[in-house]
Amino acid sequence: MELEEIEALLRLFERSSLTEMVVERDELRLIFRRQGGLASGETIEPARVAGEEIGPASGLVVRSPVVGTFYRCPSPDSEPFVKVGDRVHEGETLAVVEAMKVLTEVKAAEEGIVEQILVEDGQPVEYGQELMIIKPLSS
Amino acid sequence: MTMFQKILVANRGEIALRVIESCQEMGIETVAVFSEADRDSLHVRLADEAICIGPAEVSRSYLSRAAVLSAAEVSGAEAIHPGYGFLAEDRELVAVCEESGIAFIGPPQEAMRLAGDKLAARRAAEEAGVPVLPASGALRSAEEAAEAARKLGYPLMIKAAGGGGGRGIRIVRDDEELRGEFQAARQEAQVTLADPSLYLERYIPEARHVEVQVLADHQGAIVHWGERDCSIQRRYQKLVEEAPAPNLDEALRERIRETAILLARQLGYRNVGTVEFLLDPQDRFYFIELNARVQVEHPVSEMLVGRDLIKEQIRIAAGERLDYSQKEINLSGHAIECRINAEDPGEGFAPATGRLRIKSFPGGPGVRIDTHIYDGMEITSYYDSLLAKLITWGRTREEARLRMAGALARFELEGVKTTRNLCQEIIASLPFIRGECSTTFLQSC
Repeated sequence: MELEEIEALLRLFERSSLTEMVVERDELRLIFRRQGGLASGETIEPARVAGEEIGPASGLVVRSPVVGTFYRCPSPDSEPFVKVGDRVHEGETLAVVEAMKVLTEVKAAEEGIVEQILVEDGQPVEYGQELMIIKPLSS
Repeated sequence: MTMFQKILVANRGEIALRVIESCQEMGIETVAVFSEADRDSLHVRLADEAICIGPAEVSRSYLSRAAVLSAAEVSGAEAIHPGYGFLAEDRELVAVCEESGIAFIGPPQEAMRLAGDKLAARRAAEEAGVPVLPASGALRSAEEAAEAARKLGYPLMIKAAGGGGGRGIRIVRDDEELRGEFQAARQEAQVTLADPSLYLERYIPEARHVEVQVLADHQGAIVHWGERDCSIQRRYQKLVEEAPAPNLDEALRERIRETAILLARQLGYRNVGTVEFLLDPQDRFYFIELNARVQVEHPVSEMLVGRDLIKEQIRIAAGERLDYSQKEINLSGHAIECRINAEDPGEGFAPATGRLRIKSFPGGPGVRIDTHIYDGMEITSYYDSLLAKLITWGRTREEARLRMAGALARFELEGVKTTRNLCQEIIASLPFIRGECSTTFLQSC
């Protein structure tokens, strides 16, 4: 896709009233999304744990914030934080990644349904690895 | 102790490749770590395993102890090779490694502490009777600095006790310059160094930088692999290095080498390190610092010795003895290294970026290239500007120099400004041909 074409798409999106627009072609997938709804004086948290990035499936991809070991449960004999099909709210803990005995919580970036869990409990994960797919409720 | 089965290489670029290749020859599995910007790098492709440890910013990837250690933990690596730069001289990493049973391929904590604290290393040198440049102690204020300067006399260098590799050095020629630069140096040290203490040291303009490669095993044996001359520097960063140092009286050469061993012993040094000296025009030499890592320019020494320094580092860290004595080390011929950096010498060596095209590559007898570049590689400004180290060996210095001239001419890179042309000018210059370059050489051309 040429830069001109992307610019044209961006202009089209800007003129529209859409909150999100997805364009797919061959290997490329472009997502245009409006930030929207931010009142003046409000700030966007720069380091959100769960990423809202371009992914292979329809939902939001939740990525690992650190390299470490992925755990679905808060402790070995407790229930998992979430299961496929669960409804999660923004900021809810989805899993933890343990690195050198330090636990980092993986949180939902927005409200949605857990569509897929891509990593087995106890598996090593790298930085940025896709952990879960959340289908946003807003879309 | 038995040899490691798996080593994590906590670095990128040519040194990561270099370590991976040595490990492969030794039958050791390797784990590469990388930032998101380095996903397509050669070290990622060539290692047995590769783990993304963070985003492009070094503070969250290659400089993150937690990320590196966690990668070692999840991959089951028994040892970490830090390369040079990044965490190579990070005492905290060495401490955590010692606690968590991961071997750090480098000196133990205490030796690294002494080497890292330049004032402490100076004191140890003085105790061993090794000459050091006249200097002040740690300075608390600009007034104290001015007082010390009156006693020492100008020109002086402002140095940071916790600094190294030429970073943060400022030359001052009078009280006024001292006042201005001291504050700036202080602010810089407070931001970038764990130990912000500053001190003043005599500056010798026409000096040569001569350093000795030492190796010390955990059983107490210490040998040297001869010295290197690294006088050709831009902004206190080396550009052209060679071994042995040219135009050195043989008795003096031997004294410098023996002094390096003495210092390493005095500091209780272990593993591979470099003892740096300044040699003044009257052939007096002074200890500057001990670098507790493998240096960028280590290949020139390897070319003379015919051994692999990275393998030696790994063997020593695994507890093996040096299996040869000083007498068995035969330093043969002469080697020169030119650093090809993505920099614009016309713009004060500003980092250059762009898509790199490799038009032609040098080769032939006595030519070695340590590099991670590939055709079409995107050169970004996230990391060090080093693209390649071009090394030539010859039976004589002149043979090595002529091979370098040929190799540089054949090393054609496009798309990014590099230091190649400058290296060509340097090795063709009369001072270089005569082996008379001092540390101010690049300022004068």
